[in-house]
Amino acid sequence: MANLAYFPLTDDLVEDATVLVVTEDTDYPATKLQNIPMADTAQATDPPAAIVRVRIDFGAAVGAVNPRAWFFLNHNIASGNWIIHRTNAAWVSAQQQAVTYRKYDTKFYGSSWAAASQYFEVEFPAACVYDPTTFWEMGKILCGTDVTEFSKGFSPGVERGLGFRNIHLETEFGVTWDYAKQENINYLGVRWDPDIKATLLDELLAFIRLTKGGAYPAVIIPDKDKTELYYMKNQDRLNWREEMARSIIRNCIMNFVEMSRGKVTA
Amino acid sequence: MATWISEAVKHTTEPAAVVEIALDSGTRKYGVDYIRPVGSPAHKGNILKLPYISNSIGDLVRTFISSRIEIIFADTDREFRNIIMAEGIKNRQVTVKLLFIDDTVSITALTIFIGNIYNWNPMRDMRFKIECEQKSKNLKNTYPNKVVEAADYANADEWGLGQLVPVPYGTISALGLSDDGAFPCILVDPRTDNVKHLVGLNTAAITIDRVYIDKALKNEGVLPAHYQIVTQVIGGKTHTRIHWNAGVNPTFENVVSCDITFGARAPCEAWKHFLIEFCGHVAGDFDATSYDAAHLIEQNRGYTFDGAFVTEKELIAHEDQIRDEFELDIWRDPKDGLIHFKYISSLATPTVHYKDYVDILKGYEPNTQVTKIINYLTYGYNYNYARTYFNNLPYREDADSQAKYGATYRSQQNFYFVRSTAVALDLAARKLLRRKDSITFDKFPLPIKAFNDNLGDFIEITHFEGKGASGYQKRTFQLRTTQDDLDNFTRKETLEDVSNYVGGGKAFIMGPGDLPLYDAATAAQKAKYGFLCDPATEEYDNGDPAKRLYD
Repeated sequence: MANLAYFPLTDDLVEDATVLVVTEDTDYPATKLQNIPMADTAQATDPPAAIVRVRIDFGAAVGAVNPRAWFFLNHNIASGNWIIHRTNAAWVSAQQQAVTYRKYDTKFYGSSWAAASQYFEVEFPAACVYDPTTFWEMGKILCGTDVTEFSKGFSPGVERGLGFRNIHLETEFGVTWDYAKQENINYLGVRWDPDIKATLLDELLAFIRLTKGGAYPAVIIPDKDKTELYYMKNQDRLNWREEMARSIIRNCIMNFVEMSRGKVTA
Repeated sequence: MATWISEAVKHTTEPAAVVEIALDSGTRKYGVDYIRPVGSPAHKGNILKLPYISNSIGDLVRTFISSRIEIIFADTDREFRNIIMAEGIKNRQVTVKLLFIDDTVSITALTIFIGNIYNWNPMRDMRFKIECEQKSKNLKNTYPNKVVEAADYANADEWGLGQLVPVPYGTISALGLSDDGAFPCILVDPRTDNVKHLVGLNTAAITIDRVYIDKALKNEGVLPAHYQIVTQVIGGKTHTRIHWNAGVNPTFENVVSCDITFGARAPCEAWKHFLIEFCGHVAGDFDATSYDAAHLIEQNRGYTFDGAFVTEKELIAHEDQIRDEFELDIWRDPKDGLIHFKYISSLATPTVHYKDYVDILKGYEPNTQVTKIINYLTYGYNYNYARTYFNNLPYREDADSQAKYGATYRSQQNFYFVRSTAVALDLAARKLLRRKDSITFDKFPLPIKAFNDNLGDFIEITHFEGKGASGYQKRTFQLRTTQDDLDNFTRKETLEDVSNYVGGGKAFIMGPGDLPLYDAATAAQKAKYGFLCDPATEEYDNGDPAKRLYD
């Protein structure tokens, strides 16, 4: 079992790339895949059972890269795996690796590519089914060379939560009027024991700095060997104290809340 | 096909409030979350604070009050900070809508506010605030505002210069009431054998029916008659003057007065004309449906608008006066920004029925104003503008109310725009009908479906805490004030109990054989059936005005 891992926005290679969706809905352009909110989505206009392609050019400044970690956030794919291609500038595939479907948010963390490349294409085959709408929609794509794993596990385990933000109103006779505001909000809580490896403090400090204390979200991966992942913000500040001439992480608890997925009206 | 209201009446739903700003560079859309409609761009989810929206057509005093609203956005991406540098946003239109998130059915959004940005402010912590006011002409502008100017009247002296030029409507006459005219004149040329008096201005010539100097009637025509009527278009409006013939030289010490006529209009008709011709409005500013309905009622009631605008004051003040005199509601509706008119009519049909056991939320606030009873009303009409007094000052009283409360509660109503005895009587009777018992303005907190209600609507209420042995049982109220909370999707409605003169449906039914006389009839019977009244006074024995087929 692996330790908690994360992928910060600062490691994301897609943010500054040139991204093209075939065929893009201009009301929901490809650039939406690169901004922070995953609720702000990109969409395609292709009919059902058509192939949708997302072409990523990392640009000459970045050059050829070998991203083994890919994250597809807030998508509406109901079923069907998809494929990542390492291509040339003409988008001709030189190598492909399959992405195993997971609802809402999916990651690919596989083998490194046989070679680096400046060009990658994500192909969503005709077999992919989209729900609730019939067109392809996705909130964000990130990729990078690797994820960052904490050197120590957490105790006693990841605390989980599922929340809903609702409005609850009542008449004098108990008849209710309820309004749903935000649903299926995932929460994670992780706790570290005291008296642990010294390098963990540096790792936690690095995480806090990369996410600017929760101003920026990150992809949180409870176990990088499993499919689970979330796009979350840290809600706490890091506290520790010096004890017996060494830094002790005492009762360090970090709570994370999932970013909004937005709402679709049809 | 689903509609906004068909979704709103459900007890569990998923609403969202969105804001659209019509900038020169295109319409931008915002929400508290990213709302992604099919076929149009997403609403950017950066609204930090939605506004409270409050609108009122008054309670005891009929008026119109619209709150300004403020919306606060997160501007960490500097969108607004860039916009204000690249283009102006002041006076750009802002629309607030309510919609429902539905995965399979397209829902028509409900517009609940249309207004313009009148102020904006970048705030600390990278927020941005816009302040909006309703899309309507500035009600604080003052009208009428044409005065006697030297540029138009080169020979005017201190007795004329600077005086406001009146704008009259209808017939303003003291014939049979006094020895001179009802309307004053302004000395605009005092030169001997060239004396001129200005009567007023409007969109066409004013008919001068009679002219007096110090209570002596004068004759129109060339010599040997006394005066001639001359019109002149100045600034697009027709000034009507009295040009005295040589030898007739009234000075500032003489009282020159006249009786005049400018068309024949009913109140809504006259006010609409004044707004369009003098206050910068256009025909498209008015809601045609409500105007037509109100105009039909005032025509059927025989209302005429006979008076003049003789004082420069704020538009809202003029309008409040008309509301008060004619028991007429006039407002700019927040949902469309148009001017609406409404009379309370016994034929009014309630639009919705709210019930305590299913609709009305906790927090009902009863509010009965016992100290506002009026059961003795003195009313003045036939105002003499020349001598500033009311020629007629009769009274109406409600003896039943006086007996019921053991006291006489007096008030006075002045009708500056009413010169008909029948109309004054009708209006005074309606005012007494409203005020002879304690007036009620209850507040009801309601769920989201109440956003569909419109100001002035008639609403039935069933509530166990209402007055009476069983509380309110489908009692008729009129919507006077709305306070909208877009964070919780609730609306607090202030409703006036109008059950004493609204209801019973549209049918005018001659009652069954065992129907009691009007005075002894129940409220429900009075509302439903027709009764015989005194043909001379057109009243029932208790003084209530007779019901009419149309009202």
